[in-house]
Amino acid sequence: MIGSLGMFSCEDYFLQKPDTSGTVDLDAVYGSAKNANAALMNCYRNILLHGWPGGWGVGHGSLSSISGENSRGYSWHGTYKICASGLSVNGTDGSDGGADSYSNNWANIRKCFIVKENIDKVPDMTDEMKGYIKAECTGLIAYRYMGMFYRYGGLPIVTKSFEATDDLNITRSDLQATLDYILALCDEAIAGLPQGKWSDDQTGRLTKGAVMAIKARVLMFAARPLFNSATPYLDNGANNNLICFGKEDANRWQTAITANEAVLTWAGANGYELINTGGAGEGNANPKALDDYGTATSTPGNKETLLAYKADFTNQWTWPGSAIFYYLNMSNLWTNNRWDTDQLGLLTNFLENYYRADGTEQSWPKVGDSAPRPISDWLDRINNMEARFKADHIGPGYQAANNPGVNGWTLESWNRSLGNYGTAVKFPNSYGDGKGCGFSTKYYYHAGSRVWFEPPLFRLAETYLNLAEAYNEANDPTKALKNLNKVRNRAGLPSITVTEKTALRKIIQREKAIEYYNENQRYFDVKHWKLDNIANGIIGGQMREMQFRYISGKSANLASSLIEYWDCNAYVCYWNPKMFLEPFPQSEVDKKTVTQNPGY
Amino acid sequence: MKRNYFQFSLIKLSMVVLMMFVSTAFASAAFRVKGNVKDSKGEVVTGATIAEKGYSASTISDVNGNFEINASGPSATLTISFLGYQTKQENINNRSVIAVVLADNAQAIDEVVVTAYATQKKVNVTGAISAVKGRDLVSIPVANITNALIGNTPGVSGLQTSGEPGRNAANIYIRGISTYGSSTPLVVIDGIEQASERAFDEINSMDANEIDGISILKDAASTAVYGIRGANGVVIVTTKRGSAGKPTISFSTNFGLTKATKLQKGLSAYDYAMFRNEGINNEMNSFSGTAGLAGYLFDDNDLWKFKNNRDFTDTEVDAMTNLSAAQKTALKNSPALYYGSKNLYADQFNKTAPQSQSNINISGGTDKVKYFVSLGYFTQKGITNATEYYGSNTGSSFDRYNFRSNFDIDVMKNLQVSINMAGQFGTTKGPGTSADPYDLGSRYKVIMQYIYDGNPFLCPGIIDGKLINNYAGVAGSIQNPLAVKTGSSIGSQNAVYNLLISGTGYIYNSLLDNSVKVNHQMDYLLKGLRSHATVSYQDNYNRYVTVVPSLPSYTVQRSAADPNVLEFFGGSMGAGTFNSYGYSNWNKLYIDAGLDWSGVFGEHNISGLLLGKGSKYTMPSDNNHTPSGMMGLVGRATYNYGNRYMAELNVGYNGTEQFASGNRFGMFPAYSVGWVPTMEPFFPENDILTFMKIRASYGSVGNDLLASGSRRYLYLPNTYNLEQSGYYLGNSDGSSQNTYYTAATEGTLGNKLVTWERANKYDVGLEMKFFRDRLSLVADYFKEDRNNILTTLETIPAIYGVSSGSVPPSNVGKTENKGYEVSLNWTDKVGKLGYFVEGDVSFARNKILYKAESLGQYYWMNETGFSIGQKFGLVSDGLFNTNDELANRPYNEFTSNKATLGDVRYKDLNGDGRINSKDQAPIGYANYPEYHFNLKTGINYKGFDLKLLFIGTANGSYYLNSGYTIPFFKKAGNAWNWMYEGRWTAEKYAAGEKINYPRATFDATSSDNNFLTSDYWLRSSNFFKLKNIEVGYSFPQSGFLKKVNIESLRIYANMNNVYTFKNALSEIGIDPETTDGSSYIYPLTSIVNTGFSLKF
Repeated sequence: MIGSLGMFSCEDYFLQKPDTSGTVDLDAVYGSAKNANAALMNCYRNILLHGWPGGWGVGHGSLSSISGENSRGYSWHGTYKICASGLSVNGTDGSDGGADSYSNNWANIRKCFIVKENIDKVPDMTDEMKGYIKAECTGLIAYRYMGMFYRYGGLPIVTKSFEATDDLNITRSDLQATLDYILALCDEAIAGLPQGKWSDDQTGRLTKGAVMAIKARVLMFAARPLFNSATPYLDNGANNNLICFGKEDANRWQTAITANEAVLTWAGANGYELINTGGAGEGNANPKALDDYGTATSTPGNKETLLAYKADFTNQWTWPGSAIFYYLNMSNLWTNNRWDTDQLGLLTNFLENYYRADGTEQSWPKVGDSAPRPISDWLDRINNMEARFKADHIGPGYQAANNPGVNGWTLESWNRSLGNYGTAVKFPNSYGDGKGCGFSTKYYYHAGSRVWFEPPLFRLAETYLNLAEAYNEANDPTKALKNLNKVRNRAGLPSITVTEKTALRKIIQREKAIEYYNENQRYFDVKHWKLDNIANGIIGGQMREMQFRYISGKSANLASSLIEYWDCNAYVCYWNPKMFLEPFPQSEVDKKTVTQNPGY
Repeated sequence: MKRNYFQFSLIKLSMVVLMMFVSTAFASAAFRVKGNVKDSKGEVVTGATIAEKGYSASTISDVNGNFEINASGPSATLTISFLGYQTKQENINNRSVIAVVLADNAQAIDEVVVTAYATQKKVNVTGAISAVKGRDLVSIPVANITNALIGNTPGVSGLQTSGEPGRNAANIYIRGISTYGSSTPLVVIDGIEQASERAFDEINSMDANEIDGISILKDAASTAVYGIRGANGVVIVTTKRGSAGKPTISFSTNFGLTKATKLQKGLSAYDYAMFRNEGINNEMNSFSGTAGLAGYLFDDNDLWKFKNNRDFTDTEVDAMTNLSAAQKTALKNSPALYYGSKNLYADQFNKTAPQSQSNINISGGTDKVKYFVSLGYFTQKGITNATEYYGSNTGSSFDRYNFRSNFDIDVMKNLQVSINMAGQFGTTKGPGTSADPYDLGSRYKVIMQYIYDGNPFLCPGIIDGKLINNYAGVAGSIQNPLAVKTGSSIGSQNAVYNLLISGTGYIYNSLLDNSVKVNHQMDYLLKGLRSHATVSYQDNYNRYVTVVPSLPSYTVQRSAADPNVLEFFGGSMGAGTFNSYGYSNWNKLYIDAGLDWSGVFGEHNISGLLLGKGSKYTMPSDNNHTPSGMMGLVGRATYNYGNRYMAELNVGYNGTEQFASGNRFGMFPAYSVGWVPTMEPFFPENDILTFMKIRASYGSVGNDLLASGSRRYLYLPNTYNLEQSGYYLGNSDGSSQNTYYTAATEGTLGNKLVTWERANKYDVGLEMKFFRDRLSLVADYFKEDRNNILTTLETIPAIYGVSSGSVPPSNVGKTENKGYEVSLNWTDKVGKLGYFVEGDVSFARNKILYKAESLGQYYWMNETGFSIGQKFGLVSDGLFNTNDELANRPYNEFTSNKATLGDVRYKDLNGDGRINSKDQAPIGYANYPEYHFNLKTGINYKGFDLKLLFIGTANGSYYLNSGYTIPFFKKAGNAWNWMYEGRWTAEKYAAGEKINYPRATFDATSSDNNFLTSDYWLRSSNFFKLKNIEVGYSFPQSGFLKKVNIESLRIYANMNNVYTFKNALSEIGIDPETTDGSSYIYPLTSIVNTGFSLKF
């Protein structure tokens, strides 16, 4: 009896949690600047990953595979499934709905609010720094809201980190209120961030300029026709104001212009600029286009990039580097399961956007041609392509221009098929289903054997292209051309002189496509531009790839092995107008707090 | 009847058990007695043991029932015992000849069962308890005790996830599943509760020869004292102990051969090619943009070659001008290199592998010290072929050594100390992978992926002792003719190659279990009072070692100059790798201390128990780096009046680390009553109804674990983790990494208010015996209501920003589980032929009454209202047989409405003209069946005995996932006989032939129409199988055996998983006792086994 009852005095021994676990509570995190900074690093790591492989919910692939830039991947990839059947309310390959992780957005916004709400408790930190960190958190929240804004439309407005006891029944606000909230977050962040740049060792944290770029991009999407319209893309009944502004307002372009000009002003004052070192002067083609475009897209810390995702992970198994580099570095240097990325090549659909180096159109084979073309035609044409094509691709018979001579980036070392090859294949048949006709080398210009890169989130080229687009829409073709040609000339192309609004719009959109190949922009741009043929070879419709016949017994990747080539149909993608915006997860809709976007 | 015989006293009960072994070592003045043993019907009893109480001398009755024994004196007491009869004590009383009449054991008035913290007479038990004898476990030749339990007792059942040696234990459940949390029962071994994290570790490593018996506690009355952990039922294992007397040495050994019970039947290369061509043609005829598929078709020459196992047609050979006539003839007769045909599944798994088990144990003792010491060895090899090549050895095997020594020491007259020491040392060997060795899914993918992703001709395997991983020739040339047509986007991987390069993985496991138990009779304070205490320490150490040798592999081609000659290329070897990891080492401390008392006051029998206990489980490598603790207080009071009226109160009072101080302890009482009308004085003595008991129980038990089971300290406030993966800052130009900053992350959120999940259990039971106990019946009805189920809410909107696994847990959710068990036994003798037939049925059906889930638009979209484990999917409505059906189909949103004739047709449940997630409804039953049937029967004649066990289930479903159902996956994947036989074609439909597979498809994925999750791929798992047979012969106790002092010798043969009657899974090659969810399953095995046991 004594023994058994005596045991109850040992409750603490048996039942109390011993203090050996390595976990801490909120007070410990905000009890020191070191731990509080660690919480802030968690925000950066997760917020800025949005949309990049590892950060968009879908387990395999990148956005490029569902925006008609690259092939759809293997049958087990989410991108393949989205190409086949569109966006699902139940999610695809790991996403909770559509092509995003909706809940992940809120999880990361919560992280930022917790830092913002608790940073004042930190004893060993200056008030100045606390102010900066609060502004950074606000800016990071704005970044994620921006991403959701152009994916979903109107959103629930969350202004704090919730307690379990809070009322969580917050419905979607209309599009205007959502936009206003994001702009307010941006303005708050811009006001609170330090003047100018961070010190060298803190480079990568949000600057005023970076948040100005968030604001500028948000305002571009607010001005584009998907939202800025009297009628929504699909009727949503009483909830039309969740997916469109309800009237077309030309002033939205003006607001966008102001915001983008502000970015340029700040950038100029703080040492950021579009990289153009050729010295050819305003309006002339840059002779060093390959090098300058390569540097702007690839070199960490370059002066064109206002904000990058700093993912310097060298271990091929460390997430999220393992996801980002997995899908964006298909070279032989990447050894982590790289066979899984074998079906992510460049589609003919997108290849046709590129110009020849002299700015003229390239003439590619078409499905329905009467005969295949000799391989010399292919090699010739590739050789004549503009610098951005050369910087961004390696393919059948043509070497990567980005790292000449670096083993791992050469055809000889590629170690797997770069194209859809066959020896017995007969024109006009296709044997493949999406090998593409080149693999991306973007982000690795002069990277040597480095496997990591820092995905650029805001490059000044975007600001110029935004201005070109906005000025054109605001009926100011002169300024539109000035800004457009900044980007074109840097890329080594001659200036454009077309001033007719519709024609110029197409040219600007094409320029954006080329400049931002594989850079997570096209998937959203083409929807918000409401391109006429979005269902016919852009997101939906027939996808095409080149087919190559090569000499039996030779290594197919090499130019000397190839015989002839032709364009062929690879696969058809699903499109439905409901896909202009992403669906909310069905599980969320079932909780009765958010209303679904139309069509799902 | 002498009612005072039934005094409930633990000590006396154990004396009864010991009686027949009691020593006569000190016999001096011999008194010779002759006698004869008969049963109540006057039949002679041969082989009965006659021993003098308190002495070691003993003898056995001969074929005429006669015996002679030298007793110590004229007033000595003899104990006469024989299996199947009640043990009798006879005082010699100066007689020189005595006639003994043994009563049938069927009344089993002495029969006892082990219950929680006690041993009770079966007649007095008021809870629902069933028992399995160690002897029955030994006769089932399997490695794991949980597998042996299946079929041996009503209410216990399970499924197996693997047939691989060392990994083939079944997951067992008691009375089915009643919560969507953990349904694992509690295992208690010799009074020591096993950790919930390691429920089956020790029991499944035990040698069946060590086990005296197992009790299964099923209702609240019997499990309440385990409160915290008793909610899913309790398995109580009691090991053998020694008794005073001369040492008895038992030795047994057996040897058997195992093989797969079922294997999926492959297609020949020719049938494969025909089927694939049909699939390609179907695609080309039905869908635009598929003209390019023509390049994948096998032409007539290819088909001829597949059919005739040749690489060249005669015409082709004749056209080879560079060959001599002899070379041409040779080539025409040369079996194919490229067009061969292999059955990958059978090739890998059709081996017959040995299994063997041996045990030696010694028991005996003196009045002061009793011992049981056992040493066992078990070995089982795997059934995979092609396992040895150079340094590689990927064959699976399991080797286990067991020892157990149980000592009972009478330190003083009223103080006993029991010391139990046991050790289990296992080596599990199998293909090595870098994955978690316990993650069977990824392990079997390594072993089996290319059985599914390959095809009959893709893989030449090993040729001339060389491991081939590809053809050397240029794709499309005559030196590699099929690569282009195969078009495999997986490559030329090959199942043999893939298995071999995975190397070898070893798990070395040692489990030590030591306990000391002290019993102290305190009659000096109060008669019948006893105190006791137990301390136990279990320590488990695991090490996982992988050895991956570098293997020479080759490419092969037929020579261009003379195709009769094979040319090999490659064969270089690099360095192998070796890795060693510590995995899941753990230890557990358990202590308890308590008092019990029993007293008899006339017809009143009263007993009580009070006990406190605590345990601490530590797994240094777990994610919390902290031990888990549990403590409790147990109380019991029993009362019975004249063995007619019984009542019991059981209380468990338990604490857990999961809840905050204040909500930490829960009280779990259970009440039970019983009445035995046949013991009433008014009940007429008759031969028809000889025994009847009615019993009922009600009580509550608790659970403290979330469904995932992984979260700890549910009450703690929001936790944060430091030193998490972080981010880089700096302005490097890429020539070096920037500075890395670690991150801090928010962990799980707690809830101070969470407390016990509770199960209220009801049980009503009826036990009857008829016809002088020949027929017995046990029937139970039970119902269980689970309330306050520990769960993480799925109704919290995403804007909360906390993942559903980390939100504060709460007590919501209700389920019920109800059912019955009926068991009937007929035991009789016809002359010398004894026989028995025993059948039982158990049924359990559960239902989710409330779950915190976000509710879909239609009731069928929710889990609430359906069974736990209910499968959801589209509902099929046959296939599209006519163009009319095809044209009028609803738009299928999953497939962009792509479908053709012969495709699966789905029902539009909500009638909106679209097939989408709103049409996904409950399909079939859960994988775990609702009905289980066991049928046991046996005969014995003289020394022969035969025993059969049949088992079956009903109301269970098995989902065939897409790995099973998609042919030609990624263009070149495998296809199976059942698909080909059952496929839809317009001709077969027109002819009215049986069709159970859609039209042939090519390169399909799980998002194509036919392979969406639907009831088309849900098969009934109902089955009936002859699970076990044992036949044996016990040599008579005379002649030679007697001369060499052998007490008994038995030889036997047994078989397990003997024969499964045709069922819905037969054609697919799945044993219905397999859990579903994966296509990568190591096949379950059967065994034919022979052995002998010897006692001297």
